[in-house]
Amino acid sequence: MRLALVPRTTAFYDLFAAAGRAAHEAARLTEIRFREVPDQTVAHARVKQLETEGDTITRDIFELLNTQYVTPFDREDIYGLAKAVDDVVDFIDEASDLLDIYKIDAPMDQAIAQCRVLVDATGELERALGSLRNFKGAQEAILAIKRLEDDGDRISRDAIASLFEDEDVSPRTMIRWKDVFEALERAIDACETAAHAVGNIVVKNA
Amino acid sequence: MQILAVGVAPGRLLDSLTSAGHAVRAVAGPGEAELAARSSRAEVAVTEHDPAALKRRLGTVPVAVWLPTASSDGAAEALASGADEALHAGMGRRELLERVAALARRAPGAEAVVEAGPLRLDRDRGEATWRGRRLALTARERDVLHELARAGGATVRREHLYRSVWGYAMARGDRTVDVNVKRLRDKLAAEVGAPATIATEPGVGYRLVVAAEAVTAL
Repeated sequence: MRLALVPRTTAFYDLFAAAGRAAHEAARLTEIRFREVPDQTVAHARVKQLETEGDTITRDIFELLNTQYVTPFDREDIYGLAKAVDDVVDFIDEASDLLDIYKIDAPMDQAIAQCRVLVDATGELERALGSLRNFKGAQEAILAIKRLEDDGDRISRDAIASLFEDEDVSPRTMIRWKDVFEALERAIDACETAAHAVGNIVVKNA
Repeated sequence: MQILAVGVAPGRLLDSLTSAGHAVRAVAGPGEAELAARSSRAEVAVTEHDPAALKRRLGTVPVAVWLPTASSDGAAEALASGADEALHAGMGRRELLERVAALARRAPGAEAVVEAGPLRLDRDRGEATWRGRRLALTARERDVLHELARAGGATVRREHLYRSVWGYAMARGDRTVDVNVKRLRDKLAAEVGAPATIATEPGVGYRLVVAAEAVTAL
């Protein structure tokens, strides 16, 4: 493979910004799906499409890494960040898919609350990823994601506890919602992992 | 009638119940009984064992204790330990069957037919009608409407509706009842219109409102 000597650093910035937009849009659509179940106006296919777009962006970033001699940040940091953002969309896709797989036919307040945190966290992640050119606003976005992840943890714990408050809750309800709560929590946690990856880049390069 | 026989040895009681046309499902213990009651909508349970343990599992299903030998003391003990009825071998076939039927009638939510003005819900026939016209409702929607109609206009808590219709405790935050009431409300609005509505008591539950004109026009 030939390495390009003329740096195309703007391409990295554009790809990360696009990855941030895809993650935020996937979270936004998933929140609508969880809120509107069972009469959803958003099909899972639309979330899946964003996940596929995210995969393409990640591949493009890796390809650019392999072909560029000069990169704007350390290669391992770019690789780590691309992988972390890809995980966010993957976990959102998984949670959205569970609504259909488990044939969930009514919302649960706690899942909607988790989705709202996820929308806010991916919004901040989009902001952080869009700031890689000059890091303007990056620290604020990273701190906001950390706060949101704390909120998410609290909501997730309460959500799982709600399934065990009465020993007579249907096993079907327990199995499907526990899985959904955990999937949404993984997506929120992944936002924090991605925020850490941005933080590393900021510390080394700002 | 759907009857659950929990740990009852084959013999006179089960023979009497099945020969009278009742659907008897025999299970070994309370755990199995709980699962069976949920899947088959048992109306009465009979057991030869601890009635209190069975009642804890079955919720609103009434429990009769069967004593294979006639014993007044045994019957008294069974009633004292939580049974809703005590049946024993000293009773004739007809008395046994009538006592089981009476027990089913006394059970909460047992009324097969409930009316609220021109609205009529018949659980046995599986139909809901308004002024004799059949409403296109699902079984679940009919059950929800049945519970609301049975309350006679009083508010029914969401947790109670869930327990009565779905057979389980409602998990906090679960919107199943709300989704189903919304659908039922939409169907009532389309099929009946303003005379029958379901009002929301925020944070509490729902109540059926049948307009006074609809009732007096009967």
